[in-house]
Formats: sequence, C-alpha cells, structure tokens
Amino acid sequence: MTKIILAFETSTSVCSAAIWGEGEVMASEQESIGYGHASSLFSFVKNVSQKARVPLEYINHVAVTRGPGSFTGVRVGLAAARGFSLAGNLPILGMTTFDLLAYTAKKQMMEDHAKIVVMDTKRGDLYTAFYDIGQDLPSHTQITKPEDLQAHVEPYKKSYTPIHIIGDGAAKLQTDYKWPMNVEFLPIFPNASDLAIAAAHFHETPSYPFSSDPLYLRPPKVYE
Amino acid sequence: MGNTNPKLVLGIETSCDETAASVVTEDGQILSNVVFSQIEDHQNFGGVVPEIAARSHLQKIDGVIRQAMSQANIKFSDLSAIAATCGPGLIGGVLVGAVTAKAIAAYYSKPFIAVNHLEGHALTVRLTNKVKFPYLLLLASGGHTQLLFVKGVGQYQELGGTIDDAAGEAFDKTAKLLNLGYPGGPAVEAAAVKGDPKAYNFPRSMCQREGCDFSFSGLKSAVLREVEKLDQITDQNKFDMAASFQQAIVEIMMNRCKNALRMIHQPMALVVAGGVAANREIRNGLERLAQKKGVEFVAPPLNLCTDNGAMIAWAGMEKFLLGRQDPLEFLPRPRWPLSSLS
Repeated sequence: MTKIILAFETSTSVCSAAIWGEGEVMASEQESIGYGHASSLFSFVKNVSQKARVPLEYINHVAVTRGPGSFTGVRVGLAAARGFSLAGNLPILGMTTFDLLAYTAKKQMMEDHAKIVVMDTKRGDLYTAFYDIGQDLPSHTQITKPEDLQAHVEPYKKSYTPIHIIGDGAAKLQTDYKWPMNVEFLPIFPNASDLAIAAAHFHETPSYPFSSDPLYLRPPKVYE
Repeated sequence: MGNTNPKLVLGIETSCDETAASVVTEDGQILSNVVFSQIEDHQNFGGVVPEIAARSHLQKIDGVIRQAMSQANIKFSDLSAIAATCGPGLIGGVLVGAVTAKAIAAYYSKPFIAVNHLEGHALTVRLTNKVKFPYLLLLASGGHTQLLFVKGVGQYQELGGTIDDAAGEAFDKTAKLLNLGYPGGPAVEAAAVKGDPKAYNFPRSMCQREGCDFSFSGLKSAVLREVEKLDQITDQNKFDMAASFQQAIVEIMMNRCKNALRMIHQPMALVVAGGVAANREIRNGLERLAQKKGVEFVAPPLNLCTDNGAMIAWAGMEKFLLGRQDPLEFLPRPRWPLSSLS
C-alpha cells in the first residue's frame, strides 16, 4: 500500500496542513492565524485534500505534533488526529515539536551539529530541548529562562564546536544576548509540510517513539 | 433498503468535567451512553479546574467514543450525523470534543452538528418522555440557572436567569464551607436528610420580586455567617445547615417557577433539566407546584439530568431531522446564550 500521510500542525499561532504521498509533499497550506485553529484547520485539510486530489478516505497515516506549544493548540491537533484515527483506523505519527524542528534544521543546514531547540512559551520563558550531535532525540528537555541559556553553550565555546539554536524562540535570543562565534541561529517554526517529511522519514526508522499523548512540560495552573 | 435503516446520531459532550459519548436513534432509543466522570481529578480543589479538565478530556475522548460505538454495535459509516457540544462551557474541553467530532465527520463527509450544551439539556425530555412543544423549562446546573420558554428546536425565550451564582455553584460552595465533599449537590443532599430544614432561616433572595430571576450569592454568604458564629461546628450543625440551605433553594425554585408559569399564561408541562434537577427535594417541590397549577411535571431520569452524550446526540438528531447542519469551520465558543439561537 502506498503511504499517504495527512499532516497538520496547530501548536503555535500558525495553522498548517499538508498531504504527503509518493515521497513528497503533494499539497500544503499554512497561515498565521493567531487563534481559531479549531475552525481553520478543517478548511486547510479540505483544501490540501482537494489540491492534492487525494480524498480523505485514501489517507492511511495521520501526522501531528504533540507539543510542547500552546496547550490549546496542541490539544486541537491531537484531538483532530485522534478523530481521524478513530474514523479510519489510522495510525497516528505524533512527534514532539522539538524533534520536528531538530530534524528540519538538520535537513536545512545539510550538516549535523549539537542543537538546542527553543519554543516561545508566551510566558517569558522557553520550552527547551538539548540534542547531542548525531541524535534525533533530545538528551533532556526543560523550561529555561532566556538569560539562563547562555550558560548552556559555554562548553561548546571552549571547544569551538558549532552549536545550533533552533525554533520560534531563536530570533529573540539572537538579538537580546551576546553569543560566541560558534553559535548559529535558525529561527524556524513547526509546520505541516516539514512535519509530513519528518514523519515519513521517522516512520521508516522503527525506533522513533511516535505517540498520540500531549507533551505539555508544564503542570496545569490551578486557581484557588 | 435505505428507508428501513433508522437514523443514528453520535453525540459527544466535553464542556465541563464529564467526557461523554452516546448513540441515539431517531425514535429516541439510546443505543449507548458512556460517561467518564473526572470527579476524582477535581476533588482536591473543590471545583472544576479548567486546564486539568481539558487535559483529561483529551486523554479519554477516543476511548469513550470507541466504547459508545461498540456498545451501540454500529460502525461510523452507519451514522447519519456527528454532533458535539460546541459551547457554552470550559472552552479547553469543548474544543477537544468538537474537534474530534469534526475529524470523524470530515473523514466520512457526514453532517456535523454543533450543539449548544444548554439546548441538549432543554430537549432531553423529548428524548425520554416525548414531551411536546411548548413547555416551561427550569435549567439548573453547576454553570447555569435559567427559566426558559421552549417553543421549538432552536426557539428558546429566556424568562429569567441567575444574576450571580448558578444553583449548582451554590451547592458546591456550601458543601465546601461545610466540608461535606465534592461534588456539592449530592453531598449537601445526603447531609440534608439528617438535618432540620427549619433550623436556620436562610434568605430566599429575589422571592419578593416580580419576574423569575435568581440570586444565590446571598444564600451562600448567609451559610458562611452561620458557620463563623460557631466556635466548633458539629456534624448536626452541618446537617441542619445543609437541610436549611436546601430548603431555601427548593422554595426559591418553586417561587420562580410559579412566576414563570404565570408569565406565559398557557397550560403546559413544567420541565426540569441539568445536574441540580437530580436533587430529589427540588423535584418533589416542583412536582407539588405543577400539580397545584394543573400542569404536567416532567423530569428526565437522574443519569440524564447530569451531563451526558445522549442529550447532545438527541439535540443533534432533532436538528438533523429538520435538515440543519453546521460547517466544519464552526468555531466553538465559551459563551453561547440559548436565546441567541432563535
């Protein structure tokens, strides 16, 4: 059976959808919408299905990001993925936004280095994941204050080893702080086309831990 | 062949702290009604925590739907439409149910029906008791308290509503004050059985006024004042306060419904719905009122008073049978007054 993937990404203010088949992205759509992913997502899915001339019943995999990101956005994506999965008995290729961005950066830079993926939490800090060179999965993840991130590149400064800071939190870090020469910035955000490509790649790598569970990295806020 | 197959609607409810799914037929059979309650998740906080609720809905949604489909013994392709609560309610949870429903509808190109949660409660007696329009509805739950003149599907005239807390909220807050447990409705009701409803004379707010608005915040404060007067609160104090509090609620409900019946000058059924309608004393009080006024009294079975998927499936069915459906772009909303549907 030919692999056909419906991918969508709703974990930031950008909403996107894509269809992947025959080794490439056949159609994609993306827009910075701010909020309202629960509405726009379904227009985007319909549009990419029509553009790619792939009716939704031909889809046999659903790719989605499972966070971290906007709590609501992450849930919208995963709820949609679970709905499609239930309806068509489709496997869910759920990746973290970290792994997606780390893989996308590796492909764009055409070389592999140590990486720090930083996602803006919109609360003044960063969801952060650390990748050693050659690794597709992070050595650890945490929430970091922007001013504390410099300490993490110190070891690389001494050894002159290149390190990449990637993600929608990267641009602000680059302008707000002074960095050693060996730090390179790639301010990319997660989107469905890159997700489809990454999911297709990792689907061929049996060790990748796809999941349909959310990764929030922050406990729920309780108001007394 | 097609005509002999009964129409089936899947309904999904996630607007508060129950993750629920159900399949109903056009002639009002409930083929499945699966409810997963999050009570344990919220117990320690004495109320529903929105972010905890939203997370829990996502964890349970597919399992609950799968169970509802398998209990009904049908396939998604057998459905006529997929309905989901799209508000009002805690938006994080509403989104989970609505988006899952949309994806199922999108995959099969089936109609999607956005159901107003309150409309689900309002139409439940047509599922369970085949009540005919029009009727007077007292809708009382943890989030809502209103009196509605229900004229038809989508035609709701609000006669009055609460100006502060919802009735269920008053139960929850009183239970928290008296340390009776959560959820407050059943806890207060159980304690009240052992107490004297005349022990305390709590205020019957609004009852001297025309119309049928409600106010419960003064009642809750009155309970707090009595608690603060005591050096040490005994179990019997608690039981008496619970019974007196409940009695005040019953009398407020009866007074407001009496006014509402007078306002609409039409012999018809008096219907209750919502979680608070599960309270036996309130049901008994309203039944006495209805008898006195010569109108029929109808209350859904207890398990269909609290939030459930069957009421959403049924409201979806009523809309579907009238040829209505909603675009998949329908944006769920935290606030969605019933009166705006007309």
